[in-house]
Amino acid sequence: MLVLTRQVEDEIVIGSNIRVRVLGISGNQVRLGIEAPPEVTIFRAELYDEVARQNQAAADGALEMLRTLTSGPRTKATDEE
Amino acid sequence: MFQTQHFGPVAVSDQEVIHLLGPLPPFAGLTRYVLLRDPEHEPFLWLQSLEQPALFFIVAPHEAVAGPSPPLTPEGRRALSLLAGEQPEVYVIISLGGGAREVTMNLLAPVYVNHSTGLGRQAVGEGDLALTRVPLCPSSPVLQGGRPGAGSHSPG
Repeated sequence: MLVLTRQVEDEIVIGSNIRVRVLGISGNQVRLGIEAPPEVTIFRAELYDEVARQNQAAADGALEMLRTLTSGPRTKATDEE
Repeated sequence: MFQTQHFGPVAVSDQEVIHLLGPLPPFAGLTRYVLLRDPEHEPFLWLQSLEQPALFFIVAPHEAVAGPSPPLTPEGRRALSLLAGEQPEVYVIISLGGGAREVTMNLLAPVYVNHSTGLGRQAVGEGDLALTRVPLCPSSPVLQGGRPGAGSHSPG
């Protein structure tokens, strides 16, 4: 793991288009400002891990849920819009 | 025409492709999806990957299963190229899991789609992690269709 020491208002750059700025420090909390292109999704790590678990569970269980229904999709969602 | 594993061949026009701005965690690299529906099973839809034939999610419009949709941040709106006053469609991902084989929905991280541009993203709100697995209403069509695994349906 790369370890950097930064002060308030200092930034780091990741790749060519992601900038992370230290906005403030209060006690053991650090406020970060992040600029990144829209295709880069940003999650708090614990949220990312939980969302990944739930997405995986959703994908793993989708077929079983589908089998409780009487038929599969016959038209695309946009057909009726 | 895209050959899905569970729904057979599906004709998908360019306008129907949903381009996710980032992949759904942890499905790295998969960003192209299409929404399929069976009118008999509204409000549920299938969010089918166009890059992995076996991968799909059961989703439902947020308003249909959980009330008014949470608003996107200004950054999220810009990312989806939403015009002023334009609202995205918001879908929640439905899961079957846990020891009780409970049907739950992820209200913390819905999928926002701008159908005008085809852009979408899974946005994570602020709140308790338990919001990722909120039990679906017992009266939902999924549950009325029988307990999971009890049906004899073979997806066409």
